[in-house]
Amino acid sequence: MPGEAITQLLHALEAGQHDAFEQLLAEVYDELRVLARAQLRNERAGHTLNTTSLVHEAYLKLVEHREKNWTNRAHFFGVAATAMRRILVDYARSRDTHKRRGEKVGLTQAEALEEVSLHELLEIDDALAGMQAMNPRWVRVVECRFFAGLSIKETAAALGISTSTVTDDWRMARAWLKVELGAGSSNE
Amino acid sequence: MSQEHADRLQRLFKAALLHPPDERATFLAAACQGDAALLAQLEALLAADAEADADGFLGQPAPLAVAPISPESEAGTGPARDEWIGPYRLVRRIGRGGMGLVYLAQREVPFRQQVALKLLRAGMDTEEMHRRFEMERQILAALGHPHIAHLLDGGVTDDGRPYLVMEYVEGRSLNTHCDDERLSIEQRLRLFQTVCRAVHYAHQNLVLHRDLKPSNILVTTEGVVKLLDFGVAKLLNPTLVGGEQPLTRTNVRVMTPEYASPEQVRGEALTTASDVYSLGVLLYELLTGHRPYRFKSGATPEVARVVCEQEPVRPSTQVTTERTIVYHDGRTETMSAAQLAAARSASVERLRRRLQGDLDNIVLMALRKEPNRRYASAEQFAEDIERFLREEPVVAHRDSRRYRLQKFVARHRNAVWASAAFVVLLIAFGIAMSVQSARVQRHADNAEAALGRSEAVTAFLMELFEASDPYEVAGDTLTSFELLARGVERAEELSDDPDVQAEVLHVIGVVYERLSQHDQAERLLRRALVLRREALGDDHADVATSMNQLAWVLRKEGNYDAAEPLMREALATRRRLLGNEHTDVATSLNDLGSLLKDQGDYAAAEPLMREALTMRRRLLGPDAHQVAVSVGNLGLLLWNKGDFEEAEPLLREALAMQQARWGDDHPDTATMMANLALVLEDQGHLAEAESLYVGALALERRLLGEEHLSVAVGHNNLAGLLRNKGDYAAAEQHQRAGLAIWEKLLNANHPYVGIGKTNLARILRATGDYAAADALLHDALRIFKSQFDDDHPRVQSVCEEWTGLYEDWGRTAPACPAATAP
Repeated sequence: MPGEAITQLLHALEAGQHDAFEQLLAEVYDELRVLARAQLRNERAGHTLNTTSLVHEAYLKLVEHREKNWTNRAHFFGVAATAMRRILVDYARSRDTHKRRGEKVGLTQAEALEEVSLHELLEIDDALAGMQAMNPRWVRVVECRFFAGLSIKETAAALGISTSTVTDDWRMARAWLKVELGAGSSNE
Repeated sequence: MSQEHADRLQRLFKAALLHPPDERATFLAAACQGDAALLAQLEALLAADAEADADGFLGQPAPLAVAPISPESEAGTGPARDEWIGPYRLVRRIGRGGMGLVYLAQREVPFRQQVALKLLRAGMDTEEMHRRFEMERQILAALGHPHIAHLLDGGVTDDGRPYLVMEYVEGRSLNTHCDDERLSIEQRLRLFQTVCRAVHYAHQNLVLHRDLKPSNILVTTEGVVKLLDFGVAKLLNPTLVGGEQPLTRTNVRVMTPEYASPEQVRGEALTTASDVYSLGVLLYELLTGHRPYRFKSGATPEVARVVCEQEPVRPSTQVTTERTIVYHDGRTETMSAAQLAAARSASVERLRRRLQGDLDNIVLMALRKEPNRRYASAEQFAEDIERFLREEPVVAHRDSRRYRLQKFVARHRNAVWASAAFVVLLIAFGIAMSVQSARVQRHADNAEAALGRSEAVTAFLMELFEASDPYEVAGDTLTSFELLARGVERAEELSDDPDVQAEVLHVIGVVYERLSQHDQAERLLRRALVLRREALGDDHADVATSMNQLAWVLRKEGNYDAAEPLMREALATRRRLLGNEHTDVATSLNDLGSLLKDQGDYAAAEPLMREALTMRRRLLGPDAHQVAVSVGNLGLLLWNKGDFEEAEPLLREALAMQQARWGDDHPDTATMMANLALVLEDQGHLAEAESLYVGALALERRLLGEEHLSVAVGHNNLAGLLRNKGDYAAAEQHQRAGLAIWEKLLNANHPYVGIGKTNLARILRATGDYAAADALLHDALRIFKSQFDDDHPRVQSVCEEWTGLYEDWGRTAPACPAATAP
């Protein structure tokens, strides 16, 4: 999709057209996945993605240069955070499936660590699905902060809420996720 | 779970957090009004919150959080249950540095307090060490500054390991904080100023940090900057307490080479300027996302060389490149320039423009190799940044071109001299500078314009050399010719400024001459002369300079007829314009004398050379380089005349002066060795002469490359001595080598080619190869006769040789020189 179309969608989103979010998400998801694959291809086993830089890269690539302004950027990041979560979860699932198929490889310590955290990533994703019913805004804050690596300020701009709300939501969501993940393991 | 319940949960969670930990239970009990499930849920959330703070849960964006940790940091385990050090209970390990392990610890009495406890690896065995440790610790404990983490306590464990107890600071490193929050350049500079002022406070209290780096500067969640480990590097390394140590394998890790100053790397005494340097590295990284240097191996000698010698890339240039981080286990991670800029809330181009100029200069001023050329204090560093932020003129300025050229020359003084590029630069530098100073003296009324022009020329040359990385050119002869060719091309574009164009062509012409590229040199110098004549008329010192330089090249080409009138005209013009006491007049005298000497007119040459020497001694002092040159030239002339007694001391003096000036490893030293050998050989001191010849030749081949006129001269002269000794095989080998170089570099009628052929004929005559010798003498005579009259010594010497050859051959010699009419 040309940058101009992305920009139009960003404007539509700003104007409150909610279907623009889904359309944008699809575009950003595709672009991020391409970028992520390119990054992974070039790295050795054990490497993990730098999501924050991916999101920035996608922004620079997708949005028309003259259209780059603060509002657009914020909205874009908000969408990209959700896209990033999906990509990471898809990635973790595929790796998880791969592992369950029973292929035995000698894991270096680096890879072993990655596998563990991929599993954790899936748990977080599950927990976020549960959190959606409680407060969707918490989920969005986690997506921005954790999946896209946005700062408090950027998150506030992306979601159109105040920084103190972001701070409160983030602390709450983090504690809740920690309780959930801890409970998950003790029940096993 | 319903949304209403979630909202209530969050409201109470937030309210509970506003209460001090020990009052929360009371608050919750009251707030939950007997709802046990709600109370349990909130207690779990609050506990999780504290845990998350402690273990960094979700503290890094996914999946950076899962980036493999290097095995080293995983090695070793946390503290055993209930391990105590002094009154402190170790809670968990929070870090591992070069000096030891860091624990989060808790003091229970007299009041509960969380602290960071640093446990040293090294033991302190002696009483003396304990005493020093205590003394230093007390100095540090006295530092009280809101941005310096306070040293609370310290001691030695039962098993002799020293430990320090510090204020526990929770936060991210300065770099992480800035990147996570996407702080702009201005915001970063503000934070950095705070760091500078804290460092300055410590300096005023006579404490150096010695190990400033991002991981020692934390920003708390409240945004407060805290410097950790002030002076700890010294305190914790007992060997440092007494004094500094040179860079060794073990203490590299202690001092973090990326942030260490040149004096620190060398193990010299540290001053406040050393911390200023480390601050400079820190600022460099904050602004660009890069470190100023990249180490390939990280090996000690490499670190020392890079830190002490390499100039850092300008920050504004650095930000246009990507950064690749190499981890301990060999993994790499690459950040594009766009990503790095985005972390600074800017585009690459905007970031580059922001840094270019003042900020480049500010950072590089702090990073200067010489401590006394950096900011005098951390406070002045902060103040200059303040001036930048207020858009006032800053103190930092770029090193002058002259300074950078001097540094370049100094850095490469010990490099391989064969690098023509080096020679080129050195000469260009020398000329540009002498042009500059001469201009100022000569045209006091016009000094400003002249200065502007020399500056333009110097700038031109600098750009030429900067365009190709100056660190890459060493040892690559090709590159220097490419550089010069590019310079000529660029000079063509200067046609709207003939003054500067002439100057550039002149300078490049001189460089070609030094590189034995006489055709090129002559072409450029002729153009420079024409341009100057057009612009300045005949009666101008610059025109005389052009004439003299062109004549010098013509002399080297053997074109004496064309050279002599030009030199005489240049001398006359200079005498008229500059008077009888001027270094340029001395140069003309010396050059004309050399020309007359080459033509065999020793009687005319001698007074000119003596006058040049006297004038130079008077104007430049006894030790000047030009005086050494004159002494050597006069010695050589006297040797030519056969006046060996007077020649020898002069040539010895010239050699000593060259050695004093350049050391033993310099082409001029080699030339003087070879010249002294000539007179020694003729006096019969064959052993000393041979060793000088051999030494000079080896030096010249190494420094100048195989194909150089001076190398050919070395072969030729050594061959003569070997022939006299009777070592004909070796003599023939050297003679042929020398002749081949001359034939390649000079035109076919150059006298040196004739000399080479005559000398080779002498050797072949001695070995009985008469026919080959005969052919060579034919060639030599034709060459000499094309330039000299029949009574010229060179023509005469060929004739004598011919007579001898035919005697040996047992044939009747043809009449000489008439018999060899072409």
